Amino acid sequence: MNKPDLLAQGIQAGDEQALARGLSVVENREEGWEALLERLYPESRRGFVLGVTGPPGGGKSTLVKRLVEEFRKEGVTVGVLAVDPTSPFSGGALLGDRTRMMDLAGKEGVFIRSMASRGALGGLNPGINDAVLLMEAFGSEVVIIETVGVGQAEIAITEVADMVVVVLVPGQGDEVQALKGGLLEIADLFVINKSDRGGAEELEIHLQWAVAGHEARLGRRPPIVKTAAIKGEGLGELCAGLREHRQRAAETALDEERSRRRADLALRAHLEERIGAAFLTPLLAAEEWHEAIERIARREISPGKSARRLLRKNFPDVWRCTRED
Amino acid sequence: MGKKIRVLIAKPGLDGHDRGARVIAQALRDAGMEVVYTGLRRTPEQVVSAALQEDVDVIGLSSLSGAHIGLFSRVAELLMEKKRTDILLLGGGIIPDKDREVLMAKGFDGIFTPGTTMKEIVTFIEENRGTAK
Ligand SMILES: Nc1nc2c(ncn2[C@@H]2O[C@H](COP(=O)(O)OP(=O)(O)OP(=O)(O)O)[C@@H](O)[C@H]2O)c(=O)[nH]1
Ligand SMILES: [Mg+2]
Repeated sequence: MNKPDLLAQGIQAGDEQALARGLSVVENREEGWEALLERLYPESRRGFVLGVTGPPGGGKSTLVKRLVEEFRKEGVTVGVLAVDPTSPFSGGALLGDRTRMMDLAGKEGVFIRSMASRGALGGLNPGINDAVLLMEAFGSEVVIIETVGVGQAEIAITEVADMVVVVLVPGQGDEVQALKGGLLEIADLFVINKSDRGGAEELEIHLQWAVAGHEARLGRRPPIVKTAAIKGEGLGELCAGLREHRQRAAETALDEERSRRRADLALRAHLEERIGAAFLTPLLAAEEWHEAIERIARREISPGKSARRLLRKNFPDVWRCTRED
Repeated sequence: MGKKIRVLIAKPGLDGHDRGARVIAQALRDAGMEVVYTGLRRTPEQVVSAALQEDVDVIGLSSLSGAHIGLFSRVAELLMEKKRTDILLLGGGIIPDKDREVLMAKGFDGIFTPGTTMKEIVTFIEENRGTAK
């Protein structure tokens, strides 16, 4: 048997090391990655994908750990993908979410994988969809994705997750900022964590107003749950909120809509990756690319005009269909 | 996308703080590696379980004193049991020479004491990872 077949078989049989290796294979686009996905795709059962996002340090990892414990109490198997940003300077990354989840290490029915964002535009690793698929094939009934909700990551998460939980903290003064940044639009449920500290009620009132104000536009009113993840408080209410959402999603067409969104993202990601590899990658290494950059930097030519010239010279067919006249 | 060197940094044992481990984690990140940081008070079992799920190329164990030689050895044993001696196993901290020999015999690939520069550690990892024993 060849390598992708062996890996696929191992993953489907619930072999942790096969999953660990498979995740690297798809993340690095190592030899056989496509064959592996092909093997697993038709046979993997769809799991419930829960996105957890919010400003840095809000207690997301602490909360994820508690949620995993709650799911495990009911015998539900869980996969966690904890995404942290890649440093734009070194290309390296410090993946620290596990620090809060180490009690889960070695526990049955829990698989945790840290992932660097690897410079993806949306702040999510471009292989995130494939990683979710592998975890589903492994048998994870719930896949939790933790991302830091700054910039574009929060938008990307809605395209992968069935439900998005936004974690905010009282008294930082940044809650209003966070809502402006788009967290209001993507939340299916708000968590006010660290409610053991003061200010939770104020934030709750503030949020209620914000949510009510947008209800007509968003077509829904995300519930607000107060927790103190560090003490395990509010978990029952949070789990009830998750259950309610899943039930409603199954009854309405929301489930199917999310499935389509996920399919849409996956298809687009695969296309963009291939188009990038076929067209852009060779061009980025070419001499004329560097020449163009020099000239744009000196303001001798506009970036738009330079792009049109590169297109015309290298991909005349594409150039012809993008001409404005 | 391509392969990045993945490293897991842990500090087994109950005492002390993790400043040294954090400094190393950041330095390896700045050298372009993806560093899974697991923090203080880890058992050998937790360290190895996490390292396998994270599919790391390197495990770095940090210690403030020679008191953790038993925990360090246990990590080496567990890796042997799992047949994963291909993972580069490193120790760092105040480790006396006699303990260094014991650890190297147990399967450690490198022991770094406070005099070592970060550059030496980075070079060691780049040159030695993936060389199965
Ligand atoms: N007082 C209080 N502190 C908490 C609570 N939950 C988490 N913390 C603390 O907040 C800090 C950050 O927690 P994390 O779980 O790492 O937060 P995070 O959102 O995952 O952080 P990043 O992934 O770095 O963005 C830690 O020191 C936690 O112990 C809580 O309910 N109350
Ligand atoms: Mg975190």
